[in-house]
Amino acid sequence: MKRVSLQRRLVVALLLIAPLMWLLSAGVALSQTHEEINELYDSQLQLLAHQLLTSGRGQSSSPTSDGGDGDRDDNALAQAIWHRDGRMIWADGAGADWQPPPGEGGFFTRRSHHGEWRVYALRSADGERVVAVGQRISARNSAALKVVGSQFLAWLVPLPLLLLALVLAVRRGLAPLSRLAGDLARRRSDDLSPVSQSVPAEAQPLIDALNHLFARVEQNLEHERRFTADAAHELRSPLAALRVQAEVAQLAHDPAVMKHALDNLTIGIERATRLVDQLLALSRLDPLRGLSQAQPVNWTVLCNSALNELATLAARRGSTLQIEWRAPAEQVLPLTGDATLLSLLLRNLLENALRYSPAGATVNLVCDRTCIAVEDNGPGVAPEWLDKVRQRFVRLPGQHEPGSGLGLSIVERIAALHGLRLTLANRPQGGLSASLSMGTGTD
Amino acid sequence: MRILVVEDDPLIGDGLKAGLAQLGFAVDWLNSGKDALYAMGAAPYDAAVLDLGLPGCDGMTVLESWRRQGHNLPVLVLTARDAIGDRVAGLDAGADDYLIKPFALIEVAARLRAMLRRSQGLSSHLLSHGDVSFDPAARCAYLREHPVELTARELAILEVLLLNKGRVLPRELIEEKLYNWERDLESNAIEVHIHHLRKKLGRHVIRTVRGIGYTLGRVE
Repeated sequence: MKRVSLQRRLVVALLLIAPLMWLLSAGVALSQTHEEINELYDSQLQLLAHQLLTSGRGQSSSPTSDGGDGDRDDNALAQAIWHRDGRMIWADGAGADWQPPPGEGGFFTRRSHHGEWRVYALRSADGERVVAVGQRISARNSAALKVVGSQFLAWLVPLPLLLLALVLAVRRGLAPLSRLAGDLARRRSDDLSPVSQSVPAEAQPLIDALNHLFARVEQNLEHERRFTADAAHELRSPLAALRVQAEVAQLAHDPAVMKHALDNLTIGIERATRLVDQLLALSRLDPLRGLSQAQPVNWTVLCNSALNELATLAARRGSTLQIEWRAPAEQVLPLTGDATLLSLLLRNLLENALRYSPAGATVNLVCDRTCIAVEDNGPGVAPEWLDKVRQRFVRLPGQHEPGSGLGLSIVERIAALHGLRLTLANRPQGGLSASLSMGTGTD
Repeated sequence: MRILVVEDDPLIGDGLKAGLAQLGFAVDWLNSGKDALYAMGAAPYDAAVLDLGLPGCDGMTVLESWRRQGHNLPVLVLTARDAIGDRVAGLDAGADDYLIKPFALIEVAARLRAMLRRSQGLSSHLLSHGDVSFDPAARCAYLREHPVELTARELAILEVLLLNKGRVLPRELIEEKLYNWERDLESNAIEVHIHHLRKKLGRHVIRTVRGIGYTLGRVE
């Protein structure tokens, strides 16, 4: 798209429009003046004709020719007098070439080698004589031009000044915009502070939109920065742990210290493995736009197998893991979905509940008509963290249980693929409830 | 030398504690920022290793609070965040050095020793006094340039004395520099170790100031 400078457009338009308007008004003035001059001269012609008729000139029967009635412009005025029989009695100037006018007279135009003439003819009351008084039309035109011309000169002189003033005014009016553009161009790329310059009212919506955009970009950047920092923390910490423990094992002289370090190394490897598994699960889930193999879900099978998978963890922590059927199995949350993904979802929710509740806690997998929920009787989650904890790599403060901060992201992703909504809430009787119900988006 | 480690990750904290102990440091490990805020008064720490990514009360807050309380011991900051902003903020808040995770344990030890040397105004990596010298990195003592076999405790006592030249150190202070919170109290352990040091390095290397404690002997 070719960009046109607003300033240039305005200036060019004004430079064209102002002279055009000037020409137009000149034209109108000219035609009006012309009309007025015509009227004026016509009445003058009539008057002259009457004077000529009453002056008694040409009473003699021989044709004469003289300077006329003290006429100012010999070439511009012409007169002629004829006898009733068409014989020319007297003529002045170009009138000598005229033919006697037909009929009763009045105004008409006569063309001859002297040019175009406006002629008024008048017959005497007795019908004996006919007089004609004419004026060269070009003389009328030049008179009109002279009148209008002097007027227009008065106009023409300030026209360049007017145009200059217009250009300056446009420039001045647009100056805040070019200043703004300059400032924006010089801005550092990480400077997302709002634009505070004063601009013309017409440009204010643009500035508002720009500032709004800046704010949104800033927010996104901040989110990205936090995500990268959180990710760096969660990815590097397991590596740091492995490295430190490996070095301790290498340095240890005491077999007990070495064994302790090697045990820790194993725990560290398990933890890193879990992180890698979670990352891989998410990276497989992220590009999915829908379920490739959706089948009616059998919650009995899914829940029982999830419970079996986590029985070891529950036993190690002395916690109780159980299913609570609040509706007949065949009526529980009817859903078509991917059994593998759903069991990954259940496993993550149950594992979270087990890990983040104190040892000996009770974790219930609740199956109801409208929802599947995992409820624990642990410490719950501080209200301000209920939303944040869903973000990737975000872990609750004061957490000594190893984890990746990815579990809930996996759960949410799988839920979204099934059109389910994950709701996290602290239970009134204590502990956290993570429930899945039909609906889209996050609440 | 007694070091305070503040690190929330159980495996990293445990590893730092065990590893630095192997390298001759007496280490206390705290896993929460809140506990660390007022830990400085609990023992005569020579340096601290502080994780910045502590949940709840982050390392930066802890560091600022320490500095406000007037503790100017060297602090080595550990961080998993490598953004320049995070590192600069750590140094500006009063850290003396920083390491990015994953780090090498021996590097932590080396930086701690370097920070201690700087804080004592020493330039050589060898600590020496008369005929006796000590290489803190190699954990090796020399008498007239010949290596002397010393136990870890004896080396630690020698190091404390060399780092505090010209000061008389009470027995309790030496104990606190040598043992962490989990020490088994052996009441006359220090006396025994000093006795052995004198036997191996010469009678005059350590002087007893009656009723106060120990200091390095005069150099002829």
